[in-house]
Amino acid sequence: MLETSRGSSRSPTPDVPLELRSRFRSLSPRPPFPHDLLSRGRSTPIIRRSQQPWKKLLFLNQRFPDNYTDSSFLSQLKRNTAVANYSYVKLVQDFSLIVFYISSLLLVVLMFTGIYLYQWSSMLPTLASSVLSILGFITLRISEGDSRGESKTKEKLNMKSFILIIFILLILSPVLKSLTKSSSSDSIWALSFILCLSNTIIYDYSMSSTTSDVSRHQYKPIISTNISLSNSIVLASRLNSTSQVFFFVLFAIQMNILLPLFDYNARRNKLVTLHWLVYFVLFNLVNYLITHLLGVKFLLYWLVCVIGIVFLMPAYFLFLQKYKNELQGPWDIAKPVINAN
Amino acid sequence: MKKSMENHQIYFPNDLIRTCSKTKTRSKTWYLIGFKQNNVYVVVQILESNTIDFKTLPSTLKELRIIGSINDESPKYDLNFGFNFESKLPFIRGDSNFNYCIIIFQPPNFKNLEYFSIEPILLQSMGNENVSTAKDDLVKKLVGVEPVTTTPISTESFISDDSVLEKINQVVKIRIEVRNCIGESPSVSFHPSHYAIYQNFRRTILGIVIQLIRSLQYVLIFLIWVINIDIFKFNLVETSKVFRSLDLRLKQLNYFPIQFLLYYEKSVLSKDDNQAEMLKELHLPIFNSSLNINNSNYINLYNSLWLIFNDILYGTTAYKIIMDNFDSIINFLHKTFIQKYLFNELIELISWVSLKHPAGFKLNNELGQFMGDLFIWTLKFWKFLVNDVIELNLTPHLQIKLLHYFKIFLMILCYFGGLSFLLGFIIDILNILTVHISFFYYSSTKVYKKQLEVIKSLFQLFRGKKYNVLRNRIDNLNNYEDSNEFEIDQLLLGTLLFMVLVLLMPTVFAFYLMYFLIWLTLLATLNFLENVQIIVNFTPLFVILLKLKNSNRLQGGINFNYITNSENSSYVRMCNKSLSYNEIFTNFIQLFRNSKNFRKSIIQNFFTGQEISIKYNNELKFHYLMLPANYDKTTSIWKHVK
Repeated sequence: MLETSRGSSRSPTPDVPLELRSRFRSLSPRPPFPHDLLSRGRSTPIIRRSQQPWKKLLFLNQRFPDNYTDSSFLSQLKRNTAVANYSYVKLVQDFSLIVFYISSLLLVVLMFTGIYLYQWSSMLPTLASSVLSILGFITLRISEGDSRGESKTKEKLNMKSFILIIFILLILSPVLKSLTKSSSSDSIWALSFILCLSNTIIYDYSMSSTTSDVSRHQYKPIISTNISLSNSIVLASRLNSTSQVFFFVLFAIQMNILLPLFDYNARRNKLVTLHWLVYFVLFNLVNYLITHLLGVKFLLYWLVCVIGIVFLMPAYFLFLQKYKNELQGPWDIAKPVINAN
Repeated sequence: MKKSMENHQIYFPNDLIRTCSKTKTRSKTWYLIGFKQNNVYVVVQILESNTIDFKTLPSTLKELRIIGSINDESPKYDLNFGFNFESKLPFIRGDSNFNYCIIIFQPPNFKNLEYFSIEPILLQSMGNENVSTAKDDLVKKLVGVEPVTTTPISTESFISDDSVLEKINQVVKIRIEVRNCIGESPSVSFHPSHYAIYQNFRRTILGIVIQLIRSLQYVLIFLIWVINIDIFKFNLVETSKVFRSLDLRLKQLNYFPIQFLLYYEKSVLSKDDNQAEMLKELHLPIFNSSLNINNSNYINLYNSLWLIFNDILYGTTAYKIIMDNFDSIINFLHKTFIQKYLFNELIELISWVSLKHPAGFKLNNELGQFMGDLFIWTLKFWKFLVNDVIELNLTPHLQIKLLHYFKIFLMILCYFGGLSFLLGFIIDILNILTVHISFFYYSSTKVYKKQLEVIKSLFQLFRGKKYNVLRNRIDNLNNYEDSNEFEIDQLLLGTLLFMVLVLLMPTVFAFYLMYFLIWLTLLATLNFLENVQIIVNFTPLFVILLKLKNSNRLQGGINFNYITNSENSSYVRMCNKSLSYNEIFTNFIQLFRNSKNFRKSIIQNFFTGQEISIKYNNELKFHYLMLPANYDKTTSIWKHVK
């Protein structure tokens, strides 16, 4: 049975054909206003001549005006039916994903600082991260193969894209090197900051508490992927040599795009220890780099931010829950119940 | 309905009223002869006696009869006038049951090509008379559903009837014929034998002249054909402005005999089928109605002749001025125009844009240098072709000889073509000399447009969308999902290229903007020269002069002015409304805008990277001069000449 918000519309005479009936309905004096519906038990000016009680059925020919509101209308009102009850620990786990992603962004920026200011070798971290990412993918494949049993073609494709990206980067790195040479460094830093900020805002964190299940959630952070790459290109264009550009962009791709993807897959495959291991290593690496490059003062700022994000924000989120007031009732869009048994 | 409400219109020539008012004896009797058609009377002449034998008149004047009288004591005709010497107007005597409207008009002199016409004369056309708009279709539809009503056959005539208007226009002609027939012998008389000799002589001379003109026309047609030949899609008239002017001039000359005959020898148009046949053969843009055809052809012919004469006069003046300053002009062209502006200054501009941070904008140095080198290299090659070949490789003797030939060429151009040919030549020279600029403009436009298109589609990729060609809409991308055609590597590659292209865009745009501005200046210059050419070739000078001299000959319709009224009759003066300056000039003004145009949505074309060029509509000039489309059929008119 279909429930409608305007259950009170009826045709004036029984013999009127269907098109005319619908026309009459559109000509009804006015649609029922919300306050009409909410004012419970207000007597309508129309005298009820019929003894039959009002029924919320569109197809019946009842002797009620079009804007009639029955006193039983609000009896089906429900409040906060779909609101989930959050646990604080679960929320802390979810909010820690934000810190994880910001850490990965920070790692790239810090690595750039090292290469740009202190002439670090860009090759070693890239080689290390490449080896780690290949190892990580192999573990993921093994675990996925255990759980699902996928075909091998997918792996080949992944290897193909990996090699393709590497070669295109090699070809384009001389172009990338000279891309922003004539603009000043300050504007590049500002651009990079804006890109990082928008990246953290837009990124799809795929928290498990907002959706019922991680495995059913679709992970597609397309825009933030593109922004990460743009950020690394913009930063890389300040570097001095072609090899530095190539290695840095490759490193940035691995850290900002492949690492979150890897972490997401690990969480989806219920590899909780792996997730926390990666988390721990990354977080501490960032902490170490901040101390090394910027000093203890900045580490303190960073840790305060982390505590704020991981512990205070979930508490605030829980505090806000009591203001939630979600109404549901027969005026909502009707949902057809199919195979209700 | 009472009979007294019926309205009679009497058309009374002005000069007859004057004759009446000049007579000494006030009660002198005059008889009016003229035509009667339903309720319309047209007075042709007044006579002192009513003893006129209408049988001696030629058959074309059969309808002529006595329609009324002035100061007649025993009236026996339709109209019974008296004459009021105070107001100098005739009035209807006695108690008449009708309303009279006396329309006084100056009889048009047919020898001066004067006449009354309801329709304004058409001197130029824009060639779009037959275009049916959507509105016309709607009107047609509306007429289709209109109920059919049968209108009763009208017993009233009006000035808008052709037969009434024709009689008014022929008043003077009929008077002469009447005078010739009744007693008063024609002033010019030939002895029969002399007349025959004269006729024979005239016929032979005419025959020779016609043959001469005809053969000249064949030569003209051949010339037009020659300059219009397509050689591998290369056409002299299409490419060169000098030949474009020559084409127009030859076609005008070719059409002159027809224009002359159409107003001079009316027998050409005597039969309707002749006219229809000729129309079809020549494929004229539009044709005036029979009444206006003589006059419009007369005006157009003499306007064209005068403009050509003017053109040649200006040309000879210009040639004299050029010859006086020949050396300085050549020097200016060589040193200042070609070497300084088209080469040195351009090189400086290009290097400024490519390397020296133009207007403070920091462009990409590598790309800028690459593009700048490319353009400068092309520029040097152009200079070698245009400048160095003549300057270095020719001996001084040969150079002087070349200059001499150039002078002779200019003389031929100015003396036989005129200023418009000289302007066409200047446009051609400009087009040849600035070919490198157009090349630069087209290439930078292509680069800009392609880059813009790639950036547009990659931007969709950047924000995770794609353009769906099959459904003509923008869809979501899903690179992270399994079993999708897009992989992450494609996404990354797209972003990589997108960033590179976006960051290189300002450099490309700077070059594009520079060439666009130069190109726009060039187009404006060419457009200005074309405008001068149009002024020289198409100004309706003769029409303006005719309006100043005798505005009756520019028929733009008729005017009725109220004079006075008496008890049962009203007096109205009918006169010609000449064409207003607005009507004369509308088509001429339109010619500037429509025959060539480059100003159509410049800003939009600039940003989207569409090429801007002058769009020519050369047909319009032929339409404006009302030249026939089939120029090779003009000789067929001689078939109709007797």
